[in-house]
This record gives sequence, structure tokens and C-alpha cells, in this order.
Amino acid sequence: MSRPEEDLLNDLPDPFAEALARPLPAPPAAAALPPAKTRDAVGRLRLAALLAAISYEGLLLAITGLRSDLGAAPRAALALLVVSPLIAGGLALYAASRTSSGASVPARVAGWTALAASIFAAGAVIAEGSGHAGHAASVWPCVLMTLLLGAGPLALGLFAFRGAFATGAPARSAALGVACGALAASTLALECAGGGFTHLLVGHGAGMLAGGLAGLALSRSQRA
Amino acid sequence: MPALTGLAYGWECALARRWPGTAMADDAKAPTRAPRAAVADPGPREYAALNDAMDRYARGEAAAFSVLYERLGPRLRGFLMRVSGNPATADDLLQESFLRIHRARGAFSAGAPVVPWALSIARNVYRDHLRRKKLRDPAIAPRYEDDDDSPEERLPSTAGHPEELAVAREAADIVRRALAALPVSQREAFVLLRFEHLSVEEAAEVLGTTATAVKLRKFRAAEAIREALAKRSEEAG
Repeated sequence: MSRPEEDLLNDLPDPFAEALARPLPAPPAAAALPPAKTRDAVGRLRLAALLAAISYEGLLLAITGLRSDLGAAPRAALALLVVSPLIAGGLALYAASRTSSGASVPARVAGWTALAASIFAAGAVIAEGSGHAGHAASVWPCVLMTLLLGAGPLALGLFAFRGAFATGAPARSAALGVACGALAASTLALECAGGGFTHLLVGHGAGMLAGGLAGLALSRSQRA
Repeated sequence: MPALTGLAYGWECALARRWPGTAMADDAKAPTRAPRAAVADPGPREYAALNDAMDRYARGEAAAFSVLYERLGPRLRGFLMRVSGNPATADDLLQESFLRIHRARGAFSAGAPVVPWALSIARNVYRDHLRRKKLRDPAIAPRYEDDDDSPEERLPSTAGHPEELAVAREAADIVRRALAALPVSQREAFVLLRFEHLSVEEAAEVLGTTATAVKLRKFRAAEAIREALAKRSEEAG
């Protein structure tokens, strides 16, 4: 837009100047305001949700049992399979909860989430062969298990972040779902002895995809 | 864009003859100037005070709410009034916006800028209002709500000559009609940049889109408003 056009637009009269000059209506009465958590209370709620999510993972792991080759599996590969989803989940959670200005929220969240997914995939590539490759059908029990492991953290996460996203709620809710799926993938590495790349990516990573989609679908409740 | 510039210059000259309150007019000869935005661009000190009040409120200091309402209220009300087109609706939505700000206070990150965050919430409130209206009557397309209010309540008044007053009001009315004809997304972008003085990046944050999309929306909105003004000046001779 050229300079004269800019000047012209800057000189446009405000059609609501007079209405805006009137005094503001009275603010909502303090007694009428519903209870609202302070920042500290929200922090405590989110921490409690995180601890509850970890407990949920532990409970399911106790029910299903640890992988049979836990003692024999290569330590480095096993650690990578546990830690890389946690790093991915941490990045996705950071993308979901960060408030800042200066960039498009969906683009920024998508960037961080893509990085998280890449780290998970890289972990799967490096750790490939750490367990038995198995056949394609062995993917489906793991898909179901990762969905089950991700469901609890997702419910807790959505509760802890309810009404918290002023802008970019769909992208942020999806990132929150990805983070919950990543936690499930990390837990699953302690339960499943499958080690093929496809198995790790599809069977263990399905929770991240499903969590992202579920977060997206439920994003209305997360919007401030 | 020489053609557009030429066209703009042409109508600007016509506008200056018709409406003394525009840029091309000689201010000395035309003391009547249509009022600019009621909420001027606040300075860094105002932003700092707002951020401090929001930070205290997020930590639970109830007294900070009145400070927030006093300082943030005019900006949110201006945004809501210009996007909805109705002062009464804007006042209702303002109350709803502050209720949501209150509920979401604990989620506000320390050190984050308050104005884009609060404008995002006000925008959500307005979008929800549009959605509710559409649910009540799906046949009604989202539009300005300017039928149930007297235009005299919205348009700027001046203390000058009655003819100048009429001219200033006519100009403001054309702008209002042009805003009303815009798609909601373009109207929001234009209002945030032109009247709320946000940067393109801040507007992108509020609208949940990219800076490029915001620039494009503002450009299209500006074109539509410019065309409306040019058309009117041609009709007026």
C-alpha cells in the first residue's frame, strides 16, 4: 500500500467515536464473579495432573507387566525408546502452554510439534532392532495399548488446561494431545518388546497421532 | 500500485472538497475534523501498567481487577463495538469478555503482553456471539447489528457549523457501512491495525493466523473502504 493510501486510511473518521466517548458500563460486581484459580493454583493443578498421569501410566504398567526382555535388551536403545518420546512430549507441551506474541500461533505450535514428532521418529530409527521385529499384525495390540495409555493423560491434560488457550486453541489442544501420546509411547517402551521401525513408529506412535486428533476435536473446551 | 494511487488521489481531492475533516483539507480553513479513534495508541508506560495489573490479578490480587477494567475496558469495548457495529451489544460482550479474562487469569503467563491476550479473548467472545446468533436463526448471515440503534449515537459530533457536522457524520457513516460490508475476518484485521494500533505480528497473534494473512486482510479491507468512499464522492459530484 502506497504512502498516500496509508495516510488516507489513518485519517479515516471513527464511526463510533461518540459512543466510545461515553463512560464504560459498570464492571461486573466482585461478588458476581465466579471462583477463578490464581496462577499458583493453576500451576499446582497442572503439576497434580502430571503426577496423576504418571501414576496412571504406572498403574497400567503394573497391570500389564514389564517387557519380558527388560534385563537383556540393550540399555542405550531402551533408554532412547523411553527418553526420546519424553523429549518429544516436553516440546509439544511447551508449544501448547507457551504464551507469547510476535508469531502465528498455529505455525509456531506446528513447528514445535513437528520437531517433537521428528525426535520420536529419530529415536525409533536409532533404536530399531533393540527388540524382536515381529510381524505386521503385532502392531495392533500396541496401537490399542498406546491409545489406552494415552487416554488418561489426555483427559487429565484437557482438564488442567481447560479454558487456558486465548488464541490458537485448536493447534495448542492438538499439541497437548501429542504430548499425552508421547508419554504413552514412552511407557509402552517398557511394556512392549517389539523393536522393528514400523512397529515402533506405528504401534507406539499411534497415540501421538490419535492424541493430536482428539485434542483438535475437543479444542472448543480449551478456549478462553 | 500507480493506478490505485492515482484513484486514491482523485477521490481524496474530491473528499477534501466535500469533507473538510480529511487529510487533504486545509486544517486552518476546516476546523471541523471528524474525530479519530477514541482510544489512542497507549504508550509503553501504559502497557507496563497494564502488564503489572494483569500480573497482580493472575497472582490473586482482587483489587487489580478494577485497574484492569479501567485500562483495558476502553480498548476491548472499542474493538467489540467496531467489529459488531452495535454499542449495546459491545457493552454486553465486554462484560462477557471480562468474565472470561477473570476465569482464565491463572493461565496468563507472567511477562506476556496483556493487550493481544485480552483482545484474543474478546474476539472469542464475539465469535461465540455470532455462532449463537447463527444457531438461533441459520438464515441470518453474520453481519453488523446496526438496525436497533440510533445512528446519531454512533456517529461523531462536532461543535462546528451544522453543515460541517452533517458532512463529518456522512463520512463516518460511509466508513461504518463499508466496515459492515466486509467479511468478519477482514473487519477484525482492519480494526486491530487501524483503530487498536496493534502491530501486524500482534494482530496475527490475536487472530490466530500469519502476519502475511493479516496484511492481506487489511489490504482488502482498506481497498473496500477506499472504493466506498470514492463511490460516494463521485455520487456527490
